Amino acid sequence: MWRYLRELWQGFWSIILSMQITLRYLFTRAVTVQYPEEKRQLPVRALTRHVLTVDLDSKELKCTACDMCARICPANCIHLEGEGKGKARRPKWFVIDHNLCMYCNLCVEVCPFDAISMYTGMYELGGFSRTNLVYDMETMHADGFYPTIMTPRSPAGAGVKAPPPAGAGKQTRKA
Amino acid sequence: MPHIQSGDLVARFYALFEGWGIPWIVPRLIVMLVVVSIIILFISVVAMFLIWWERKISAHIQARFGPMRVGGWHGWAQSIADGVKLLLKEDIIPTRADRPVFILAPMVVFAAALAAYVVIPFGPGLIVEDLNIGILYVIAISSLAVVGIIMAGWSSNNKYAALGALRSAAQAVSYEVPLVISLIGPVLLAGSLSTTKIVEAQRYLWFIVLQPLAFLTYFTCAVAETNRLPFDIPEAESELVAGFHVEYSGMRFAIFFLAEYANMFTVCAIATTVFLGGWRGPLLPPWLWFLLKTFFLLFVMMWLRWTLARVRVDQLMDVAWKVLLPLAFANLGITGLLVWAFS
Repeated sequence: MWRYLRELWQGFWSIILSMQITLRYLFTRAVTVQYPEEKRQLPVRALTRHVLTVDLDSKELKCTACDMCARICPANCIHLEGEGKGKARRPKWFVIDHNLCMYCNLCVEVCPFDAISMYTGMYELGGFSRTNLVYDMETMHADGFYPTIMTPRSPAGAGVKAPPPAGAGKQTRKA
Repeated sequence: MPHIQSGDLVARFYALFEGWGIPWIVPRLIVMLVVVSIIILFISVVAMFLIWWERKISAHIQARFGPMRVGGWHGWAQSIADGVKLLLKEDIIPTRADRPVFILAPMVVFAAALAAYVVIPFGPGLIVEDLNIGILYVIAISSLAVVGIIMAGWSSNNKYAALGALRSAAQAVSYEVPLVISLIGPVLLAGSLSTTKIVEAQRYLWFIVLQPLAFLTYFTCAVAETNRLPFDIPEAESELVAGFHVEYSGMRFAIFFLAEYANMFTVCAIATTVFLGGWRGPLLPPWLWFLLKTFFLLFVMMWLRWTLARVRVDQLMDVAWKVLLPLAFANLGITGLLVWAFS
């Protein structure tokens, strides 16, 4: 009899406690991000769409069409052809097929001139056909500064007065 | 004959037709039609609101937003959009289904849900018909829904539907017993089965204070009666797909849905009437007090739904026969003794 009543009370009390917890959750902030209206802040070094970086003074592509990226690419998604000799060598056309790209960053790491970057924050890649996801040189031509693999995580004196201590993720991206 | 708020108006309406020499049945039918239309409209609006509200509460308990798109402010028009979608959907009747029973089943369920609204006192005089056996009538009518559910399960020619209907019948029959017995306590205190008289009897003290055990057993049974979590094994998705309404689509499914939410409102309204002092409350108008209390109970029901997990069939029967029934009987016995001793 007493055991029956005690178990009854325990069951009732456990329901009350669990309802307390759900009530607390009812008033916590929703974690949902209302995507098209609000967007999440990406980490600075999130791997997203490629960009061909430019020399900020001459506004010219840094790429010398050395073909290293195309050769290291495991998905074989980079195709390019250069023209010109020696220091004047520049890509004639440069195509990255994002249907194939697996965002491994190898092309960026292998590039000897820091001429390609994936730290662009352009992750909204969509298209109505597969050819929409094949990007050519004009599309990937950088229009300004993009952080590359050589950009320090917390640049001292790059527009920031006091560099945030260990604030790798705090760095604002100029785009 | 219905007496809404102003019985005089209805009486004058009848007299008007009598003066024109029209048979007495015509004005009465007109009044009935108007009252039923008002109730159906009320049920639809409440059900739509409850569906939206439930989705919001479930979402926020899980730290989500729930519907946010349709209609602008927090997706308030979501239920309307869903209703329109269900109206436009194809009405499928399975090939080897028992057609007349299949078509009739949602109507029976909805009629049972609708009929209970006759005795709900929304305010002083704001009641369709103040039956002197009001509570008994509600109990009798609410058992009728099981018939519709069994019809739906049987006629669908689907093993999941049949199993769901069987479970639902077992559950409804088991929980009906403690439900009725827990309602007898307050009825003893009020000395009447009429819903209006019960509210009048709570002028000084709500019956939840005198009968907390009866309230808890009634509320648990009410949750089970309306087939809601944690007692929703008749439509346990993980085992039975959707239970008795697997084969229903479009508007027929919508009617089942509507009946479920109408039933929820009914059981909560009865709980408000019997235990929470009905329309009584300071400052605000009576009908608002009634709706506030009822919606609070509905909120508790939803809250409970998103707190507890579904019970097994044997656990369900255990709770009904080994816990709720003894408690309800104990409450009834003690109440009876005290009422006898003090009168």
